[in-house]
Amino acid sequence: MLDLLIQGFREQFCLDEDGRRIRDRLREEHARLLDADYLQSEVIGQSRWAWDFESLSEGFSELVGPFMDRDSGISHIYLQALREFGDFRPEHENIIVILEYAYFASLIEDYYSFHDAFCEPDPAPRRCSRLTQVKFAGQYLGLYPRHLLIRNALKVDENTLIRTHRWIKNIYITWGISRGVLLKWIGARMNRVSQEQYFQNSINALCTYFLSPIIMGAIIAGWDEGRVQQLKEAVSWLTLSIKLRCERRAILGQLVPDLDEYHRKALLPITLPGTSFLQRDLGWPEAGNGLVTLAALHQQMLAKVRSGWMPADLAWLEDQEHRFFGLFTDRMRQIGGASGLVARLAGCLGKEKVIS
Amino acid sequence: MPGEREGYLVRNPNAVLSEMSPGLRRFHDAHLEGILRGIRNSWPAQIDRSFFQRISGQVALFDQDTAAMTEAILLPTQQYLDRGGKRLRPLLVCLILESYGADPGACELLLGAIECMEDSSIMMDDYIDGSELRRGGPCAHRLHGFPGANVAACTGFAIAEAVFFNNELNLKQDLVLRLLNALSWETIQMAFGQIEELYWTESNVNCVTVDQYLQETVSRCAFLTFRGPLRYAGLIAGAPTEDISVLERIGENLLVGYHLRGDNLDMAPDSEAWGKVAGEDITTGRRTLLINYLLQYASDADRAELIRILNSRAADEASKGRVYDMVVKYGGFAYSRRLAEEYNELTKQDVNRLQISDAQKQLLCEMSDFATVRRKA
Repeated sequence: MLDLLIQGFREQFCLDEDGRRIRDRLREEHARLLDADYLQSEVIGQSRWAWDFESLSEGFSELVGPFMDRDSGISHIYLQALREFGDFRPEHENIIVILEYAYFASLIEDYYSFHDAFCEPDPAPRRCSRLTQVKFAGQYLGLYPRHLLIRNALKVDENTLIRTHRWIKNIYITWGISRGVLLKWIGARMNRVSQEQYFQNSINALCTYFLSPIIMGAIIAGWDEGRVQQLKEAVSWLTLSIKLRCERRAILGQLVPDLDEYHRKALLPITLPGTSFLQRDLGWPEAGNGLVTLAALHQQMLAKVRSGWMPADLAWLEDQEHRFFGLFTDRMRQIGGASGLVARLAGCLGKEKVIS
Repeated sequence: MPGEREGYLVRNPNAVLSEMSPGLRRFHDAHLEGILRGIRNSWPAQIDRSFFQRISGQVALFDQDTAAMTEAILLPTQQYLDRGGKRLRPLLVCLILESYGADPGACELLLGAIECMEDSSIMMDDYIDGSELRRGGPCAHRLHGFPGANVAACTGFAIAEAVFFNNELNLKQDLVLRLLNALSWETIQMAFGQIEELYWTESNVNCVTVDQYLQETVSRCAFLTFRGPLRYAGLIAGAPTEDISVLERIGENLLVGYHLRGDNLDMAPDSEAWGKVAGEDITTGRRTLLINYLLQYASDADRAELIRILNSRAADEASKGRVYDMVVKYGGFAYSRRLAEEYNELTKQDVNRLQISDAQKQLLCEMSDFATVRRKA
């Protein structure tokens, strides 16, 4: 996904060796999860009665299979961060599965949450069972990473194990809260939302992209909690900078215009042009009735922003993007370490000047 | 309380507890205040900066819309909590903690978390079924929409887990890991059980065996009702290792009895205390034990009619009445009651294996009677 959001991410940031490592690891795990014997012995455990593995296969494996060997780009960030933060060991590769499955599970949840069938202004109870089936298949995909962690696939000490597990939960909660807030804001059609609130919710909403892998790398590398907190602040600035970049490119129609329906919906929280909308105070005179969909709101906001935008607005957005990236690099310098990661990110974002 | 404000609190909470034995009712009353305090501490009235930090571990750079956070994430579960409930799970935790010499007062956060997990997770059941009522009030998806209920349920459940992943009970690390391991396994069981049940319903599977049904039900529900509470309380209280596995089995047996009782009540509620629309299992096409029993034993003509009704997701009273008549005709209620009684008996046999006092064994048996035979809600 990061290559959809950041031009040149694959070419300028990713390393071929990591790409191979990620593909192999995901392929291996995918095969294991399709194996009923593995499920029974390593995941489900002893059963008192009988599982219906055929239903499990059709209700889970076939639905989430297409996601299970995709490389979102997040693991590349993790691997590069970990190498700079501390020693890399082969068992640390297991984090690839943990990060990718958790991320794709969140995309499935987003698709479910922002699907029209669940937002339509229909007073009668609606049920879209196929979608719900996909949602719960995605939910398992999101639970499996914790299972791997807690079974200590990483071979780390107890304290690190508890910290990595806590971080997985922290990310899930942060991501969930951001979706809840977004849904409330959609209902109010973005009225009474401040720029600051939007910024913070954007950082929360995009926590799976940079915060999740970079902080995971620091925890596994054994960074102390104080230093990790500083790193969280730094990466939050990076996240905000990337969000503004995506927003600017979405307004200009440069951000993956040929995105399929699935990814368009799942990535709406990132492409929503909320910053520009709030900056120019383009709010609606009255709040909606709470039943507008995110997809519809996205289109309306984009139309409003585009019809009223001026070069100065886009320049302001770009300035903010640079400013926040600068704050990221400043904080990283203060913390020390990861200069290679920062340089490669700056390279693919075209911000070499910021770090020079 | 949100429930009262909206005029939805129509159930008499005492009716829910009316079938408890006097001893169990006394135990309930003695621990209710601690349970409620635990719920309040686990589930605050609003999300503020420190609560956000506690559950998310994030460093907020800007002001947050804490009002929207609270409304989106805390309120839906709070509305369920405010409608009352049997609170059997935290009650069981108190009973097990005391049985092994631990003080429930020192574990109030655990009591609260267990109840909050339950109330968050039943929101998912409600939107899966498209249900209208829960505990006498509208279901969360009716109040907040499907996406709102889904986000609140999933995130709320994770928030309630903070007591474990933040080690808020200050337990030793190896015990924390045992608890997290159990939690991880249980949530995967829940998801697999849910996937099976959804698939059976969605795909109108008509050949589910009793064993498959029991495995699905126990996997999907036993964590919160009641295997999880029993296991966690036993581990935290330092119960002997051999008792932990017995406690887990008691949780499963208790759940089977409880669930079968619930299936019967869904089709034939005994009283207004049920607090839900009768016959929802039929209108959602759910493959409950009663339905699977009919699919197995009804005549070809009746089976064909049953399948037609289930597949059409008919919500009219005539269709529901027709299924009810079939259950009576083929002795479904009697079969289900007999099975529930068998599991109630298994529970009691296991209770007697525990290394706890006779008085506490008695209370556990009374709990089993209440859950599997006497409850009306």
